[in-house]
Amino acid sequence: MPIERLGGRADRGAVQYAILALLAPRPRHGYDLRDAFEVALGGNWLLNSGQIYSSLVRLGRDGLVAEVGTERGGGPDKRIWELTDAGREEVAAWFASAVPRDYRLRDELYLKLILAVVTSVARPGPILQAQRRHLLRELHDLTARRNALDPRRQLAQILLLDSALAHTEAEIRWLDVVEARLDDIRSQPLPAPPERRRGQSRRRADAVSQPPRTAPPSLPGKPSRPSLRPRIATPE
Amino acid sequence: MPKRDRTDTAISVPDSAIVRAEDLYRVYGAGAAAVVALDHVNLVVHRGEFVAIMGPSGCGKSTLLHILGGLDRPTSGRVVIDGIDLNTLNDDALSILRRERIGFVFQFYNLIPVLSAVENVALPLLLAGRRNGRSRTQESDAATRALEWLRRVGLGDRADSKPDQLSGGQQQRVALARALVAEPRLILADEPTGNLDSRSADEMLRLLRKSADDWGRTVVMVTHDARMAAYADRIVFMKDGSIVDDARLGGESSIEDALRRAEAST
Amino acid sequence: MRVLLTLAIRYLAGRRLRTALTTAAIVLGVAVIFAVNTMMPSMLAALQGAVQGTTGQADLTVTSATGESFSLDALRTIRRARGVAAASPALRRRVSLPVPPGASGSAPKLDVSGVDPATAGLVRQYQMTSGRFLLPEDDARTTAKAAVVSAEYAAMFRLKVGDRFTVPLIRGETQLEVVGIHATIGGDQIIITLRAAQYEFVQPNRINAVDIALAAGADRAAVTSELERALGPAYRVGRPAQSTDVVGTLQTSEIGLNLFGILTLFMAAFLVYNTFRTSVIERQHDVGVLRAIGATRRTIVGLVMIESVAQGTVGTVLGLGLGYLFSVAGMRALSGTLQQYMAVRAGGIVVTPTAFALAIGLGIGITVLAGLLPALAAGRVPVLAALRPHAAPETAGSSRRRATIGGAIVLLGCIGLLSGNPGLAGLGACLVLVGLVVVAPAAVRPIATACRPALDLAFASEGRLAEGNLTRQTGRAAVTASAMMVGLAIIIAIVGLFASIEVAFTNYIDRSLASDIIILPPAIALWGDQIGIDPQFESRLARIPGIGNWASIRYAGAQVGDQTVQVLAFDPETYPKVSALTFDQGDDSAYALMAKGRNAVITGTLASAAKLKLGDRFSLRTPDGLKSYRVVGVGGDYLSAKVNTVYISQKNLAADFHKSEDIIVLANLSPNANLTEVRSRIDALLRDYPQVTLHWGAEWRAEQKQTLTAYLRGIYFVLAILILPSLLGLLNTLAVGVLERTREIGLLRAIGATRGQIRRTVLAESLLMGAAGTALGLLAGLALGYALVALMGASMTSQIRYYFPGAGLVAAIAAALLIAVLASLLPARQAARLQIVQALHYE
Repeated sequence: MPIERLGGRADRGAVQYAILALLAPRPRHGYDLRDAFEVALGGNWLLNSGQIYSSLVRLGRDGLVAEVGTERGGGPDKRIWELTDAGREEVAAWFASAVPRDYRLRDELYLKLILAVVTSVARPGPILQAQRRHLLRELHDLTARRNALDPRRQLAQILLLDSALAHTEAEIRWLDVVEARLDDIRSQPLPAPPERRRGQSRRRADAVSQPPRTAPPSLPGKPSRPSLRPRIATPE
Repeated sequence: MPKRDRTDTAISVPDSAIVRAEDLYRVYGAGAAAVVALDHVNLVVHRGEFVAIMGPSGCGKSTLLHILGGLDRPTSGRVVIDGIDLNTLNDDALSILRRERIGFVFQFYNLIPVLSAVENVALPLLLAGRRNGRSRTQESDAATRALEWLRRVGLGDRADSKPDQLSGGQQQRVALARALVAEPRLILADEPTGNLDSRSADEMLRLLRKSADDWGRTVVMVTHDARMAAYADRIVFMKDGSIVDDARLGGESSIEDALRRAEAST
Repeated sequence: MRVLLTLAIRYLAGRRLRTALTTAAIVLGVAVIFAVNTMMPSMLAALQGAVQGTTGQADLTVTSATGESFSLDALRTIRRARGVAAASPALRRRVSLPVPPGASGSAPKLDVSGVDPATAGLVRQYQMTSGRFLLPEDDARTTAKAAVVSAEYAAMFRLKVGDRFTVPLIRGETQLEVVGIHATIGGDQIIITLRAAQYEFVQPNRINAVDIALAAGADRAAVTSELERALGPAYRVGRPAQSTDVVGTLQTSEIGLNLFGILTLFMAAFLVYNTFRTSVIERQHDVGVLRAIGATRRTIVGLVMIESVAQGTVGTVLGLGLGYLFSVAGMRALSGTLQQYMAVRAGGIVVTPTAFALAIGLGIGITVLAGLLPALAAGRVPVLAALRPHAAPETAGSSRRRATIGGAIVLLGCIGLLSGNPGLAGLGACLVLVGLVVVAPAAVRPIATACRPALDLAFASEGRLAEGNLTRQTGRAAVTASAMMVGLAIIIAIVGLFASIEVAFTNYIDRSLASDIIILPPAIALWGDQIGIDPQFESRLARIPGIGNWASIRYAGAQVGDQTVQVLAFDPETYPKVSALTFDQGDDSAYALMAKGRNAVITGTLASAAKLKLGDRFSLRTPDGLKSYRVVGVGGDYLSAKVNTVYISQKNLAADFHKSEDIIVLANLSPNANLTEVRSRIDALLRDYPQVTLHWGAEWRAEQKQTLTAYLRGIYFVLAILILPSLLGLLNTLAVGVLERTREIGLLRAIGATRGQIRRTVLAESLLMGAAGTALGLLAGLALGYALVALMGASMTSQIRYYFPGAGLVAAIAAALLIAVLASLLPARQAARLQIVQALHYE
């Protein structure tokens, strides 16, 4: 099953780096690149030639790859690409650096819990339990699927499922933490919008009547600006 | 009512429910220091199920397991295992029950250090003693069966190793073989993977799964690890001595369905 | 169940050192009991043999009640009795052959009988293998008296009919000629005519036995009672009397030694209990697992019991073997003493079924019992508790009760100790021991507190930790301290006992046999029918220039009431110049009184046995009937160590007992004596009297003291072995302590305690327990020692004063502390080596 269906994002940046890495051993043409990519990932991640072509063009423009010739055979001509020195450096740097993580702070579950507490429309306990059930079922399914795979032939899928399992597990653990904090949460004063005096802009009123807000912890990789307008996070 | 010392004459009510816990109440200590470990718990487990009991520390899950296995007696309420009410059994009868109808796997120190792996596995059979007048044949029988179960858990070549020569995961597998050797209907496992790394833990759970699917046992497992619990068909959630939720995982499907799904999609 | 056996063997093998030490303790206890119960009967048998002499196969034998000689009147009375077909008079004496100088071993003894040739054959069957029996004509011989010898004797000395040989009799070397050899088993070895015997033994017209042949169809019992009636109490019909009381003493010692053996086994049991308790605690988790997978309580109890029975059996079997070796070695060692003091040749070992039964029964029984309590405890532990072991807290209220009960018992014991009655003293000592064991847990705390300053000095914070550990688990600490206490008590008691004995004996030797020259028969202290030397010897000795004062001692057997006594006679004028009696009542004026009339000095044992005191009159049974003597003093000397003795003048001895042989001669050199000349003259004299030996006083006394000291050193060495059980007990307790506090130790290490500090904590704990055990052990040991001395003194001439074994005590204390240190080494190492993480996870 293609990975998009599992959720998560396919970062075009990642595809470009993959192309660079695949060109490192030898020059290839576009179709070759596509096949190599898909085989390596065990069929979980499919690309179309358009994606490949536009990535190659972009990389060429940035001086990381160069076109070196054409292969003639049955069918349309295939242009062969190779890695430049700059490209090799870029690939090396990519392998050497850590991948930034996104902690999904705009999470819907998070939202649900906060709203339940704030509005008292629902109780947090059942929300947590419902999520827990769901996650455990996910876990059960993922485990079953992973255990059905052959580690010799399907390592790529196994690693992927392990990743999904670990993330699911992590979320379950977070649920446990939230559960433990429920008492604290319940005793918090409910955040209410400040009284607005006539003529005051909302911002100034906030500044005067509310206690200084502590900025949410800034996490690496994602510059954060507190914004009161909720934006539903969409898978991009 | 005088307690019986034999279980083979017990009346077995044909019932698909192999475990019935009715209104279990267990309190420790007295007065101000009293702690309620189980607060009127009811639980039914059917034959062939693989049930995980989860909950935060102190929720009573281990206490429940101990009482189900006859290691502890409830303050009130009763447990019926395979049709036998444990309250009617005296200490000796409980021992025999544990020997013949229940298999235990603990978190650690499952094995007798002075015995080899195969000797450990054979223990439940050898402890049966001269009940039916057998002796020598019984012993060679026990050895053969023990070796067979060791093979089934993948440790046939380590039969003569002592526990201190085996890794944690291997020790737990020996413990499982011992729990299975007397072919009991019910396997009770108390945090069986608590001390293991994730690979050994997965191996262990796969074997437990196999116990339920291939070898037809009913497995009740206590765990705090969601990943391990997810192997089960059904999870019972406990908190503060009560059951707060009881969820079926994978719907009606068993692992076969999951396998089928997996094969169809690639 | 074989799996239990497998488990038991594996567990035993898993703690090899402890199993070995425990088994060793059992082996020792069983060995002691077996040895005591084998050596005693063997010694008694040897003694009985020596005392009884040979009665041969006459139907009945009449002897005097005192074993002394009597006149022929009795013969007439006997012949007149109904059922007596024939009666033959005889004079039988035992002769000690001289031991070649430099040779060791016991002196061979001869039974020499003088019989009436005319009637001897009527009462006994003599099977002659060659030659002939004695004939009345043989009386006429003046040189080379006729003798019939036993085949055994003939073979030993390669004699045949017609050969002449010499035998040392009272008159010196006497020549005999073999006229016949007889093969009767148990018969006398040398038979001469009655007349010849009376001459050689200087007892004219006296006999000391009448052998009787019963008429056909006569009832033995009826004849016996008729004879007894006719002859009166001065005679004994049937078997000859035993002439000394040594047998009685031996029987008392047997009880004492058995007690020692039982104490040793008690210690072994203590140890077995301790060891099993420890191992059960160590295996608690395994027990939990076994129960969880279906073992019943009985199975668990059975498992522990198999181990204890196995150990008990192995220990008992080995103990029997060791005990046999002890017996053999002991008899060999003692044979010298027996020979020296009692002229008894120690025969073979007599192994009685009683010895086996006692040793096996006690060995296995006590081990099984000791293992039973821990086994039952193991079975009783609930399954869950076994799977998750944790230390059980102690109840505080019971400790006060224990203290009061224990204290009361100790008090009772002390009362018994100081009562003066030896029996009560023994009981008192046991009560003190028991009381101290009861008090022990309550005593741990105060002792630990008392040791605090010393502990702080050496140990800083570890001392406090150790103290805390101990006071929280006083029960466990007390068990160990008690084990140490019992071991130490036994050692101190015995050290005290033997120190006292050593002092007493040394004093005696220095006072009693203080002369320059001592002439002794080959064996002193048991001379029954043994022959001495004729008075000619002493006059010849007196004539040697250089000899100053001298005195001789003579012997006879007698009775006072129903007490058998020995009568020692000396010349009251000469004796005090050369030797001395130690008086408990009366003083040296007694000597003068002894010279006039029938006055006697008696020993303390006789005084208490016959309830006599200074000034009382008593009847002394002599061959001539009862004679009345008056007590003019109560006291004794080295010779009369354990025997009821009456000292009278030699004049009285001759008058009442018709005896004038010397047994011992003491002489002092005159101030300007020429030693070499005196020596050569004495040697010449002694050549005629080979049955006695000359000792130079100073050397002899030194030799005696050396021998005694050597024996005592040997015993002290054996005592050291008793330390071992205490060592093991301490080790066990410490090991359990380490186990139960694994988490705590892990925690301490995690927060920064070094391995060395952990080791020192264990060491401090061990020292504290050692201190407690030593303190209690000292008290118990002194009490026990006091009781033992009192008991011992009761069977000796006079009370032995209790000698406080100061040096021994210091040594014992040092040893105890050393043990404490040694015992802590292994557990300390284990505690220090615990992996922190594992220890913290230990549940």
